[in-house]
Amino acid sequence: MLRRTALALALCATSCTQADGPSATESPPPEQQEVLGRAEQAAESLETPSEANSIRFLEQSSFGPKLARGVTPAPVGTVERVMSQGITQSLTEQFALQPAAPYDGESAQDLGSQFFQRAVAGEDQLRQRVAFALSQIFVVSQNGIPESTRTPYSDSRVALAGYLNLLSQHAFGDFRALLEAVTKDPAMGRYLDMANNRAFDKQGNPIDPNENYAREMLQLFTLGTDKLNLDGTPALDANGNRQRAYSEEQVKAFAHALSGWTWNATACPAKGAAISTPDYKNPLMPCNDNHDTSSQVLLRGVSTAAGGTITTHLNQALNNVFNDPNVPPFISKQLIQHLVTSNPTPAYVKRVATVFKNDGTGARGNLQAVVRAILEDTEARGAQPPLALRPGFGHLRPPALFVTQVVRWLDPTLDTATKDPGLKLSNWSRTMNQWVPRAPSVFSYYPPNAPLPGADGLVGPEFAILDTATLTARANFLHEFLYTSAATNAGLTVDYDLLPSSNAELVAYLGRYWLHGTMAPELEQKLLTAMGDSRANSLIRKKKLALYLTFLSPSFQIQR
Amino acid sequence: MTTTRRQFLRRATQGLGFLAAAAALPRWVGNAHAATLNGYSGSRVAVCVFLLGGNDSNNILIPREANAYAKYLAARPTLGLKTDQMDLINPTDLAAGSFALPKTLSKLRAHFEAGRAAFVCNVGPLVLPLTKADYLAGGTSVPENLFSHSDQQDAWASALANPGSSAVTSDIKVTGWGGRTADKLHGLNTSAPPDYPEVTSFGGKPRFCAGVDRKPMMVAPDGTLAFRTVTTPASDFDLLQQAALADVMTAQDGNVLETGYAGIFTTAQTFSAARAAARDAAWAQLPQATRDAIEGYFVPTLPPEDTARWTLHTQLYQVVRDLVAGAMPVSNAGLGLKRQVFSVGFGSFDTHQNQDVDQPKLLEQLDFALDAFQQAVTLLETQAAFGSNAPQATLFTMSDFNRTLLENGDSGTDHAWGGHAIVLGNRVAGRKLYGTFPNLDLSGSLDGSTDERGRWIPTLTVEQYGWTLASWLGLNTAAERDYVFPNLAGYVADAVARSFPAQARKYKVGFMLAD
Repeated sequence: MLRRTALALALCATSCTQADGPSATESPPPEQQEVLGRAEQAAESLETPSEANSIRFLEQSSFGPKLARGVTPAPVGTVERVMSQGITQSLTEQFALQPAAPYDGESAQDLGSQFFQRAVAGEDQLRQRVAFALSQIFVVSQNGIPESTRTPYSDSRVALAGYLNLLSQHAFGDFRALLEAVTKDPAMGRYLDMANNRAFDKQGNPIDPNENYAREMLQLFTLGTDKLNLDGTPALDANGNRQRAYSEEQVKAFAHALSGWTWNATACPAKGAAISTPDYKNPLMPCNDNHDTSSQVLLRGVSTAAGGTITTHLNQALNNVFNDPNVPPFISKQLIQHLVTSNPTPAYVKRVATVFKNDGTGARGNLQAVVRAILEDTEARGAQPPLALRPGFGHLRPPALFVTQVVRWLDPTLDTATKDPGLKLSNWSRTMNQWVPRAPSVFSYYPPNAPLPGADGLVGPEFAILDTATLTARANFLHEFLYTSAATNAGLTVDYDLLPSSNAELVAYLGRYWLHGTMAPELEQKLLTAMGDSRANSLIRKKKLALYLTFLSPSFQIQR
Repeated sequence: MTTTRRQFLRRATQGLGFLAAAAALPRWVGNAHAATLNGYSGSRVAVCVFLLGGNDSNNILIPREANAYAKYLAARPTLGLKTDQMDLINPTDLAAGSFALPKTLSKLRAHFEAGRAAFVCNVGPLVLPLTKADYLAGGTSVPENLFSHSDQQDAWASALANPGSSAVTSDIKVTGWGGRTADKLHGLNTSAPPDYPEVTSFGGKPRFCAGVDRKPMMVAPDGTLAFRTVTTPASDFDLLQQAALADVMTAQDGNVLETGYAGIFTTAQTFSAARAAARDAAWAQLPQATRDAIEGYFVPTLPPEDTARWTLHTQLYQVVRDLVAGAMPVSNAGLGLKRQVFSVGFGSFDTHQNQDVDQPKLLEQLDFALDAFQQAVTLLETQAAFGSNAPQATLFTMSDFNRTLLENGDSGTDHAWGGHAIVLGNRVAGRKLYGTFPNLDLSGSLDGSTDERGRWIPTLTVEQYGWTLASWLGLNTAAERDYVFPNLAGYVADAVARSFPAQARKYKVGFMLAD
């Protein structure tokens, strides 16, 4: 039944607006049953995942699979540990893990370096991976926080460190709480002008508050631009047209409802005045004098209370948007895109969004349950994606994940005491246009709806930053890592002796692990031919040639 | 490369058995003959210079008529240029000395006076022509997210001021007018290798460069686009590795994402090698004296400590090198392109503070780089090596927005809207101001400003500006126009229906010489 549903949905993945067409309940024609291939589609239990399934799971839920290399019990984040614990328990274990240390904005270490160090070496892999996904939905860029002379610290570093910690803390929490924390966060307050957003001028005359935060909160953090069905497809009106998720009037209404917040300080400023010294260590402060207390008509005809206080109105506004039917599919689909596949079937989105709506205990917006639903789903699990979905399944590894997955497979020793390997990794990612945590705009490094080149109707978000220069940078990162002393100089020392020495064994190893058993015979043959060429005239060159080619192969670049 | 692209499309289609419709055909299929070389059968290039951060163009073109200048100074007691900081210009059709340029743009001024440069006044993103009342009424005819850097950069780059409410398809929304122009110009280019990208970028806004079908050559600002090798020149091992990598790209598991990745890889590998070879070979076709002269134009005359961080002249030098490679006929080892678009950019024009110190430095850099480029192109036009494909180049500026006429309390200015753009080249109908210079009176009815701080409501749209340049490159038909500039027809129709001034009722601005 699951198989048939998946196929039916795949058939209308881009053209149907309703997920549950009648075909989902009919048997597929015999030739399709044959194509499905029973052996490959045999469901694996979540308790006893195969090695390939476990590797896939770690590709989706971490910054890259690692091997235990004989250490027992198998360490957190290794393929062997997932195989022995099962998917369900691995998730439970990851949910409980906390960061080894919070991001530190007053450390000399660059935040990008701190990010990459955590990503390649931290145990709380899933938390950091989900927080990274959230950081690309609720975007604040370090480049968007100006330095002031009024604070005793670096504004941009302290602001972003606090913000990254916030996302990490809320990664498995309640979406409503996350939304409120983000709304009151000083980094966001600066980035999208929530701070000092007054409803009055100094003469006490009403003015239009800045709409920046209100607009992006609706467009990018919660609703998107179009009304959605629970399965993430556009909800069309009677004439077949898309419908706007919110109106300009509603943007203004939210801007008024969220007016009056300023930097944390000992006292509120006078009406119409601002606090000029930012405080990036504490949430924004409510100042009722600068808040428009009038009633505002929000989404779905709901109004804020006339004469309500600034905090009441913020609660009412956030409750209103949190309860909008667009939020579950909008957020669920993006999380799927970041973790598993760029073009999930509507049914997959619907299954996850249903959990977003209600985690089974009646709670809405339980991100832990949502993440579990994403990673335990039949489209995510198994040794390979469902056969019928394979032609369009997966996502291009974004630069940061490409870097970390290369590093975690090669498993170098990290010298963080005398060197700064994280910074080197961050700079490599930057050459490929993903400079963490410095997204170029509130639209992040790449938008979730960027088209996949050459495939009408499919999206490929990460392709928005793949061009001749950045693709060359992908190859050149790897070349520099493998063939120069750059990695060693940065404190990343790889022991290439850990890899098999014979050509055939190495290719088999790369296929088994790095491509979790999906290496096509065609690719195997190409690798063997290259390694067997007399111009690859030493063992280490043969090895590095195989690594270079495999990491850059389409089969690896697209995480499937 | 044609074969590769066809394979690419075929594979993409094969892999999509589950899609309701096959992949749409590229935009250039079926209309390759719409764009024409009628304007000029040789090589033409347009160069976009993006002034990132929002250039204060109120301080690059200053009215010297007494009343207007008094209003300018009143709004800018600190930042307003004094008479000894400016030089007069004498635009055609206006009283002599009616405007001035800052002394920091003295080289540009010389080109202006010689008829090679023009200003396009008060141009900015618009959906429909707007009166002040229209602006205040709001609604979907007002551009979205005015005064926001990212949105207004995108609006300039995409020529779409209402991406949220517009009914155009998403492929138009995520692309730029440079790239979409390339979609339509592609049929004019019979290059070797085939399908060499029309657009090359060394900086600026990536969106400007992206077409729906035609993808740009994105190159680092230093001009380098090359796969690293173990040794230089490439060793046998390097050659093996490069060939093996190309081979590996053909293994795509029947997956359309893999096909997409491999397609971009093939573009990079195929064209980066062709580009590098053509750049060297075409350059070598020029006489040594020509090469030396061009190199010399780009060596700053100011002390190194003032110019060490300049980036625009180095980008424009790379444009010259790629322009030479592109325009050089295949028979002379060039790429043999007829039409190219380049993108460069630099900032920080977001002068909220200390504009009196910072903007003059930026303008000095701009002035030097534009002049160097103009001199280089003028020299190239007469080079025999190009045969009948001698290049013509038009350079034009874009920026996020203009800034408030009224200065703020930090010796700076804030985000505004319509501003003045620069066009430069030997095919520009220069020594002229196009459009309407805004009324700088901040005390009156403020009909031309969104508010009392002096944020001009544009009186020309980016799309009129862009279509003028795209037409010069060879775009021709209404269908092409509406594809690249989706709001332009509606804009003009509305201007006609509501009797806006003549300039709003024309699709083009007259700043290019007739062919």
